[in-house]
Parts: sequence; C-alpha cells; structure tokens
Amino acid sequence: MTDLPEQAPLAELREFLYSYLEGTPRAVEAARGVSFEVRRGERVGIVGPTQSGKSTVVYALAHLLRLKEGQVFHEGEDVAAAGYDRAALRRSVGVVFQRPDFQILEDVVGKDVAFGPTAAGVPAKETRERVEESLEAVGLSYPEFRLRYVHALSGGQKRRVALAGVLAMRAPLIVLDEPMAGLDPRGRDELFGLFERLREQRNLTMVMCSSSLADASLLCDRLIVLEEGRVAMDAPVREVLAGADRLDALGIALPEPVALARELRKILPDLPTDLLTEEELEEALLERLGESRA
Amino acid sequence: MIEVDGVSFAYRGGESDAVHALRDLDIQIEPGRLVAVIGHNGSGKSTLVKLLTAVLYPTEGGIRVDGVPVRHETRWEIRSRVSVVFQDPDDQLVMNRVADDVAFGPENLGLPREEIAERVESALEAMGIADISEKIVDDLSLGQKQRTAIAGALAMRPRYLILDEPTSLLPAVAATRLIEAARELNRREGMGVIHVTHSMAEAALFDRVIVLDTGRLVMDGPPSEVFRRAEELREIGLDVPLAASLASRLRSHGIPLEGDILTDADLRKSVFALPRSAGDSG
Ligand SMILES: Nc1ncnc2c1ncn2[C@@H]1O[C@H](COP(=O)(O)OP(=O)(O)OP(=O)(O)O)[C@@H](O)[C@H]1O
Ligand SMILES: Nc1ncnc2c1ncn2[C@@H]1O[C@H](COP(=O)(O)OP(=O)(O)OP(=O)(O)O)[C@@H](O)[C@H]1O
Ligand SMILES: [Mg+2]
Ligand SMILES: [Mg+2]
Repeated sequence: MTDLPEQAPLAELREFLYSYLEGTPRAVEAARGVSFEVRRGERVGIVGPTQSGKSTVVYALAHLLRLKEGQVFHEGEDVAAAGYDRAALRRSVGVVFQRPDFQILEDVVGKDVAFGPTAAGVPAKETRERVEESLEAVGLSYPEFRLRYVHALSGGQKRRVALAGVLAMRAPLIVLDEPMAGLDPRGRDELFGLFERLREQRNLTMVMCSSSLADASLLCDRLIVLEEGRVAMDAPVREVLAGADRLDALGIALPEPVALARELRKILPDLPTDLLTEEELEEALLERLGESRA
Repeated sequence: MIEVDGVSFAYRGGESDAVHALRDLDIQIEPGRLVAVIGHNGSGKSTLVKLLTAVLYPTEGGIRVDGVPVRHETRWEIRSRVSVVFQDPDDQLVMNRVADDVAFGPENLGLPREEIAERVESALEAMGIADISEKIVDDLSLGQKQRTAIAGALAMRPRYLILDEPTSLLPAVAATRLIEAARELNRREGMGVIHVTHSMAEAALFDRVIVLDTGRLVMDGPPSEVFRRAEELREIGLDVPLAASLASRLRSHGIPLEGDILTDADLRKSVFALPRSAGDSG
C-alpha cells in the first residue's frame, strides 16, 4: 500500500482502549481495542446495542478523551505525538453531542450559532451569513429564531440549534452523537437531504453514532457495528443489512423496511432483506404481487 | 378522567414576545386509555405534558384530573395521580444509586417495605435495567438514565402515566419493551398512558392518537382513522407508519389489499389474504 500523505485517511483509530473511572471500583471498560479508518468524504455510522461504546468512540474521534492506550491519527499523524497541536485540531472537528445543553454556549440563538465562527476569527459579515445559512439549513427560520432564547425552545428546536452551530464552523469533519433523536419526521428527512448536499458541495466527512440502525443506514455509506467495546462488523451498509440475523442476535433493531421485509418473508420467502427504502420494498413487492395482475 | 377545557397557554404571556404554545384545546381522556400524542418540533407537546402535571398552569381554560382542578394548591394531589417522565431525564433523577432513585417515589407514598421492594424490582425488570440497580446515576449513559427515570415513574403505579418522548433516547428494542410494560400495567391495574413520540409506528400501537400542529389540536381518533389522512399529516411535518404508507402505494398499483393496515403484521395478513394467484409468489 502506498503511503502518500494525501491518501492517508482523514481519521483513524488504532487499537483504541478506554476505561471510565479507571482505578476505581466503578471502572468500566468502554472500548476494548477498536481500529478503523475514515476516508475523506466518507459517511460512517457507528451502531450497536446500548452501552456498546458508540459515544466513547465518537468522542475519541473528536479528540475529547485523554488517551491512555491505542492511537488516534488525523491525516496520518499521531495526535498524541509531542508537539502536535491538539487544541487546534479539536477546533477543526465539529461535534454534535447527544444532549444539546452540552454545547449551547450563548443564551440567544443567533449568538450561539455565531460562537464558533467568531471564536475562529471569521469576519462579522461572513459570520452573519453563515448563521443565517446554518439556521435555515436545519429548518429554523432566521428572522423568527435568531433572537429567541435557547432555554425557551422545545427539545427538538434546541437540537437543531446545536447542529446549526456546528455547521456554521464549516469543519471538514463532523462527528455526531445520535443526531436524529428528538427530530420530527420532516426534520429527519431534511437532515438526510442536508448531509447529502454537504457531501456534494464540500466533501464533508461525517461520523455519527446512533442507536437506530435505520437512521445510520440511510445517512451513511458504511457501518461499524460495535459489541461490548469491540468491532463486530465493518462493511458497506447493504452488506451489514444483509446479515439481518446477526444484527438481531446482537439485539439491534432492524430498519423499518428490513423488519417489514422479514415479516413478509413468512409468506414471500424470496423477498430480499437488504432493503434501505420504502421505494425499494415497494418495487420488490410489486414484482412479486403485481405480475399476475397487470 | 382527564378533562382539558378550552385551554390556551402562552409563555411570557402579555409580553410583546409572548409565545402562544397552545390554543383553545379540548381533550377528554378516560381512565385506563392508551393515548399517543404526535406533532412537529415546537407544536406544544411538552407544554401540554407540563400543564397536565401542574408544572405550568393554563393562561386560559381549565384542567381537571379525576375531578380535581389542576392548580398550584392541588399540585401534590395531581402528581399522586399523574406520574411523568420528562424529555430530559436529568431533570428528574434525585438519588445517587439507581435502585434508590426508583424507590424514591414509592417511599414518599409511605408504602410498606416489602411492597416498595417488589415495585422497585418489577420496574427495574420491566425496563431491563436490573443489572445496573447498584450503579451511581451520574455514571450512566443518557439511555440508562432515561430508563431509570421511567422505572421510577412505573414504580409509582399511577392512575395516569405520562411519557414525553421516552423512546427518543432508547434503541427500538428497549422502546418496544417499554410499551409492553406500560400495556401490562394498563391491563393489570388499569393505568392510563399518555405517550409523546416522533415515531409513527409507535403511535399506531395506541388506542387513540392526538395530533398537535402549532399549538392546536388538529386530529384526534383511533390510529386507523388518523393515519388514513397521510397527506394532511405530511403537510404538518408528520408521516404515517411504513406499513400504512406501503399499503396505500400497493393499492394505487391495483393490488386489492383489504382492511386497515397500520403494522407490519397487518400488511402481512392482508398480503396473505390476497387472491391466491397474487398472494402466492412460489
Ligand atoms: N462518563 C462516564 N462515566 C462512567 N462510565 C461511563 C461514562 N460514559 C459511559 N460510561 C460507560 O461506558 C460504557 C460505554 O458507554 P457509551 O456511552 O460509550 O455507550 P453507547 O453505546 O453510546 O451507549 P448508549 O446507546 O446508551 O448511548 C457503558 O458501560 C457506560 O456505562
Ligand atoms: N420556556 C419557554 N419560554 C418560551 N417559549 C417556550 C418555552 N418552552 C417552549 N417554548 C416554545 O413553545 C412552543 C411549544 O414548545 P414545546 O416544548 O411544547 O414543543 P414540543 O411539541 O414538545 O416540541 P419537541 O418535539 O421539539 O419537543 C415552541 O415554539 C417553543 O419554542
Ligand atoms: Mg451513546
Ligand atoms: Mg417536547
């Protein structure tokens, strides 16, 4: 394998191990040797049963954990190496936390979304443009929401503000912990569209973890399945979905079209299960139910 | 019976930046019913939950729970009938250890020791967290905290259990288990459930679905009726369960599926009931 710097993965974990509360009786081994690479423009979903270490892995990629064992690389460089500017690196990775309260820093919506760009020295005019663009991108009207107090928003509105704040930073890599939780159906659809556009326009690289295999399958190209802090599968989305039985055994709920296809297999045994969307399932069903009627 | 009579609510009412979160709501919920509440982000669901549990009080109109008017002075009486799990579990976990937190409510009811122990155990069991009962609440993931909060509410064995998006932090397997646990308590003890959710498939499992749109009640009926109105639901940012949507697509292609189709099993049964030439793929 050639090792030209421009071909180095954008991010990589190598034998990453992590324990919370190490050295105390309450210690928990959350990651037990996790290795994978993330290439530029890739969208990687981290899924797994509850407590399998998804959030921990995401925080490692955001350089938010103090590393003890294993290595984290950014553009091929070991971020723990002496002299590496980890603070600057942290600013270049956008993080969306599971709880919006962890990252909302200002009391007024417009100011909060402006926080990142302003801190990074982006000129005021451009910051304003980015704030407007980011709020509209997450489905919050700029004139309506820019002066609202963050604490006086609904749960889903707060999550949208948190996401807008990260978008406004224009980071080349964003990592997200459960980005779809608490969004209404339209909000979810809009988020799918948004991530699609961001990749096309900016070649954005994205790593998200989700307890919903359905969301991760729709948003990502590749899935990493964790089980008790270890990588159980790492493959393109469809390949992972084709192993529905294995996912079932891990206690991971299947995406709705896959679950529905499995239910229908009881009477249509040749129905495929690596289906991502309603349209695909519709087509597969029409093929089997429609022919004798047309 | 929960009676919501002509209720409106505004945050910062009277000020220039007042937010009219609920407008002129009329809802009656008989005891022992399983009710889902759906609506877009900001439609007023959590505000309604807070009004039903005496955290906020109506700007206009009134609410009664089993005849008791919901007011500041009656809030403890209301909360002994109505248990709630808020959207953010950190807002309501009070004790250090998981088991103690779940026991907190029943202890305040002054129940005998054995009864408390039995309730705590069955609530932990129902939420699948018996194995972490000795853990410290601060060390838990958000999903575990959520389940602890729900177990605490279950242990109260209230007349009405109100859950505000209890499943948005839970994986689908745990969400299903929660709904089963609530149904079981409904069957055994007649506990009513009001369940706020963004999952249309989940809402379809309830007896009745209430739909809010920018603070107004726009639909209210059994899921088979509500989810027939797919276009209207999509216009207000919602959707219908996958099985329902797929059934209507197949019907539009001339496949004569019979009956109300809301769940995966419904669709399977209707496909199976198709005239043999169409239903049999073999
Ligand atoms: N701050 C913390 N302190 C102590 N233990 C923690 C902490 N955060 C996580 N853990 C523990 O580490 C393990 C992995 O947790 P992690 O949050 O990474 O899992 P997850 O897959 O994201 O879970 P969930 O689906 O519940 O979000 C769990 O056993 C959890 O209890
Ligand atoms: N403390 C507050 N002060 C002012 N306005 C508020 C406050 N809390 C909520 N609101 C506003 O009231 C409206 C209804 O909010 P509510 O939290 O009831 O919505 P929701 O249906 O629960 O939304 P979500 O699905 O996002 O949780 C929203 O427009 C919201 O911005
Ligand atoms: Mg997590
Ligand atoms: Mg809410």
